[in-house]
Amino acid sequence: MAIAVHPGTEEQGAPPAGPPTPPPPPRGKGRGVGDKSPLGLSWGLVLPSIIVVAVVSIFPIVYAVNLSLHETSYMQIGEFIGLQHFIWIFTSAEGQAQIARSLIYVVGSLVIAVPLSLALANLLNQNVRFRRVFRVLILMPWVISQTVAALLWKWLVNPDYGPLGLGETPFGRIDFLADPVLAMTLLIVVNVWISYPLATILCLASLQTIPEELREAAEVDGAGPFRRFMQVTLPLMKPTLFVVAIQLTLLYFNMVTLVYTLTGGGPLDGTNLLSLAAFKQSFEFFNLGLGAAYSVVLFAFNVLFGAAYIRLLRSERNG
Amino acid sequence: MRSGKIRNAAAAVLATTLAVSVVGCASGSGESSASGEELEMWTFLDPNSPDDPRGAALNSIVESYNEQTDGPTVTVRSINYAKLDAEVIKATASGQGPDILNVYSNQLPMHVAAQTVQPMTEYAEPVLSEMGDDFLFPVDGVTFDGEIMAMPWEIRAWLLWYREDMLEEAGVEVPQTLDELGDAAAALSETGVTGLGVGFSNAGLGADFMEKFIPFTWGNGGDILVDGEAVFDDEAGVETMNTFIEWHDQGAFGDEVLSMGADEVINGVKAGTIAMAIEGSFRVAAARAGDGVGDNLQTAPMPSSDAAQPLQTPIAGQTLTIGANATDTDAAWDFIEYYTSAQSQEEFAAAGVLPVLSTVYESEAVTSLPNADELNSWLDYIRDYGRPNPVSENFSELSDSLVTGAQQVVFQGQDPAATLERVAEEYNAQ
Repeated sequence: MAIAVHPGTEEQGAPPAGPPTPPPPPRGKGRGVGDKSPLGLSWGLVLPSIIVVAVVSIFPIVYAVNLSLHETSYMQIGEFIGLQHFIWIFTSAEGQAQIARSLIYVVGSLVIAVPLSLALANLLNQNVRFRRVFRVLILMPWVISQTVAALLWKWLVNPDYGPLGLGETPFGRIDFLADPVLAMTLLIVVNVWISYPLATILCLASLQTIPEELREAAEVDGAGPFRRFMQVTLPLMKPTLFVVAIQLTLLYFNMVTLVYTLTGGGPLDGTNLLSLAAFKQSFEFFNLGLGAAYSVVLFAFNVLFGAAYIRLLRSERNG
Repeated sequence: MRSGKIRNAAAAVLATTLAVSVVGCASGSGESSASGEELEMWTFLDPNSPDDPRGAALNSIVESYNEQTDGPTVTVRSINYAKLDAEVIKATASGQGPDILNVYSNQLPMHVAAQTVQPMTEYAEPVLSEMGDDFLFPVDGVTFDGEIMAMPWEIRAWLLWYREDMLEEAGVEVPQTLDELGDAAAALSETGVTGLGVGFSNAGLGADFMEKFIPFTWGNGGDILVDGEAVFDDEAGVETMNTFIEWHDQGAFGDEVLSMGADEVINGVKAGTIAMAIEGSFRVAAARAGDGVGDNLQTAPMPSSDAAQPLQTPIAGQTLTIGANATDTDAAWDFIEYYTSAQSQEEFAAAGVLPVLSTVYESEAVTSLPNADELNSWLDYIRDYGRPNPVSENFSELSDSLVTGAQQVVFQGQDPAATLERVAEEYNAQ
């Protein structure tokens, strides 16, 4: 058994200089769990996680990438065709429009959802009466399924009988689901409606970890509520906000059920997003290869945005 | 050292257990659903639906079958019609497909190509030969490479639906020609409703729009598919698009139809927000079950440009197939034969479904129905003006592309000829 020797201890006569330094990591191979752990136990404990991650995460990604490079016929994989599917997505007018719409949808939703969640979290963090009731009410959209939410909003904005339907106005008839711009707007609103509770909870949790003393000190220094928020609260919440942004970005890019049920991609293809195209190509037209290519493009966008947030977060910390 | 050996052994046991579990799970997922004791039937009909009388008929037929059979009993799994085909293809690929599958005749080529169904020629051929002309559904429509792949249990026609009460209130006569249909719809729209409901949305892959585009194009002397090639990008197809443009311009329907599929159109007719529509005979009974609808909903053959004769109606219908994963095909056929028997057809007729056996229309069970005359009028329409619906393996994709093109033509002013040509080219390039 290897025994770690810590150089520079008091017994060896070296003078103590500053705080004690942590011991260096052991250099032995295959000693991940501890010096006294046998190699088999280390691997035995790690292997289940590796297998689960490989089966649940890595295998589907590899399978999807492989599928996207082949012709397919229903569930059968055919000839290798290289990047043809990707070239089509990135060069065809339809594919480019889907990418543009997806970006509008994701960025549009984020721009509303993050500030809204931050504002609501601040309100929920105040000592007001019925605070718990408000918290429950605000969280309610979270427990509603996307299908139900879509059907509910379809009814709400129906121009003929929906409580929020505008119908005939001095500017003409307004039907949210019959106009591509209004349909995208509605889609973003409903998307924010079902996703802001998650962001609000995370923001609220983060707010509650900020010591009250910091805000009190700023108040004593003469900072008003807005300045306290901007210069004390917000900087301390930035890591949480980046996590929220990453989570919401992944959620929005991959959203299918809501889009499919609320607009079906229409009207005039105005809400036909990458995620919907991936679903329709895969499970309605059974072009699994093209559907997988769409999924890989979505995956790439998710990685790209996630990496960008993390980079921003790191630069904030370092700066 | 001894404790180290024990730990190593424990680790090995842990890893082995996990591996066995993973393998066990994997092999478990490959088992067939067909147990031999019970057959599973997948269908879009809901046996417990309070609104759709076809569901109640299905329930009754399955219960009767299970009571009288000595073999495996049948259980029904209801799946939304928009999801059924995809679920079956995925499940069958993993060995979990149904023993008996309900397939809409338009989707049958897709299931044949996806190998989710198996031939039933050896069972069906003798029965169909015995039935002869009594069987109304064209058997060619369910035959692929000389093999009968499905047994139709229903036949359907597309009709002009109109709310008699709404037409009377607006002082509008039942239209006899397509021009009159546009004028009547425009007049009805002025009362604050949608005069003519045409589902222009991509919901249901544009099926509702296709159900109009096909007979209208036929009426203009054109066709949809010839030898698997799209041929609707001709004068007839353009004329059909021009009809829709004209109706939109004269107010027969507004932009609201962009968010409508078949379900929305039918719900609109039931709710009284749509006065007229062109929909299938198979949905009439369910629509009439709506509050205050009843006999206010009437049907007539689809008008053409000539008042003397209606448009041809596409012939399609629901079928039963033997699933590719079925192991007991004898038992599966036994149920299919029961399901398509005269006795079962009578039950479906009472639910507003057109039977596929002509003798059933003469049976006492059907002639005593309150809607017997109507069923017979639909049958006559099919006999005189029925035409097999065009089908193809990629029909869903075609339908989705065509409705998107129609949206651009009717609501964005794109050129009909160029749009149809593009859609046809994309389809033919596949």
